[in-house]
Amino acid sequence: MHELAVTAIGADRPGIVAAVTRVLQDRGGNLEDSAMTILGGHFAIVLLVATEEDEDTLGAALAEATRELGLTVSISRADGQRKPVDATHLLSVYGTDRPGIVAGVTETLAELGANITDLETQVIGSGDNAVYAMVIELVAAEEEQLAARLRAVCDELGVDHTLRTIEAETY
Amino acid sequence: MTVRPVVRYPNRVLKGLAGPVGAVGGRERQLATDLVDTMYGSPGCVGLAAPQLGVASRAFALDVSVMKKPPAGNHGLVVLFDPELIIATGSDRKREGCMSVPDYTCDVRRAISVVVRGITPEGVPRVIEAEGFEARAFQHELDHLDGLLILDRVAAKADVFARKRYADKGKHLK
Repeated sequence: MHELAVTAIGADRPGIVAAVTRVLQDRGGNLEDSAMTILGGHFAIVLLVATEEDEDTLGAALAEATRELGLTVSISRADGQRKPVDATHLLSVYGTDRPGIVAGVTETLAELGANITDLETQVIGSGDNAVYAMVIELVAAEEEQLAARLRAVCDELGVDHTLRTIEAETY
Repeated sequence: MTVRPVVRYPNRVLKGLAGPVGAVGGRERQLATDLVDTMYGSPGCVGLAAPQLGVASRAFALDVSVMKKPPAGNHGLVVLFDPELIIATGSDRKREGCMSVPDYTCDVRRAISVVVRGITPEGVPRVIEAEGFEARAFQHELDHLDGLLILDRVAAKADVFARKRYADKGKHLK
């Protein structure tokens, strides 16, 4: 068994997840981590599958089975070590929509060696009232410097932000 | 009845610290009336804070009894000036929306029970113990007085759970 990374994206409609996962199941694959969501009018799938098949064979089968859905499918080897990643901080950034918010904020994170584990952005509303909102989960070792640098870059970008530590919840 | 326009982000009044009201007079009572009228005049609205009317004062109105399924033991219409959160216990995450950040909802972590103290429009001190959804509404309105929006309170990303569900589903494959 090895792992393959599969991405599939296409115009949203019912049946996309079913079609893709059906192929994986029928061919003996085991679906590992996945993220599937609507982006604008598109549906995007990113997943890891544990399988005996090579990427060309599985890729061909997926392309064949999803042709009717018009998906763009790509597949590649995903060998790598699996280690649990626990985000330490949650950063929300929001403001009037303008270019450069994601690049500006994430560059700052990269410079400080903060590792993004999850990032989601959304435009709220439209036209002159459009608000850009971004929520990032990240792993950061050092908080004070991070907080100071984020204040600076968010001021520069004219956006509001909140940085909080993520508290582990156990029930 | 005067339904005033509700201010939306990025209007800066929503991000500032609202000032104390102090003594309750005619102007404050008018603010209370405007808060209540605008709240009741806005479909789906169960609470409104003064900054949402463009007024940087520590005041809000809320009424969760207008919900389709009114929470048991709620206090109906509550209007408070200079409210303070005295006690907050428990923790619970639920989805919230906000008239000042329309078209967006976030999972927000809040205390389950709260005790809030403030001054009524009649100038009388009032202490309220609230639970569940009503307690959540109090905390949401109190946040508005400190310039905090649901976007500042987003709980750890909800889709962690969605992803886990997909992963579990994979166990049935093979």
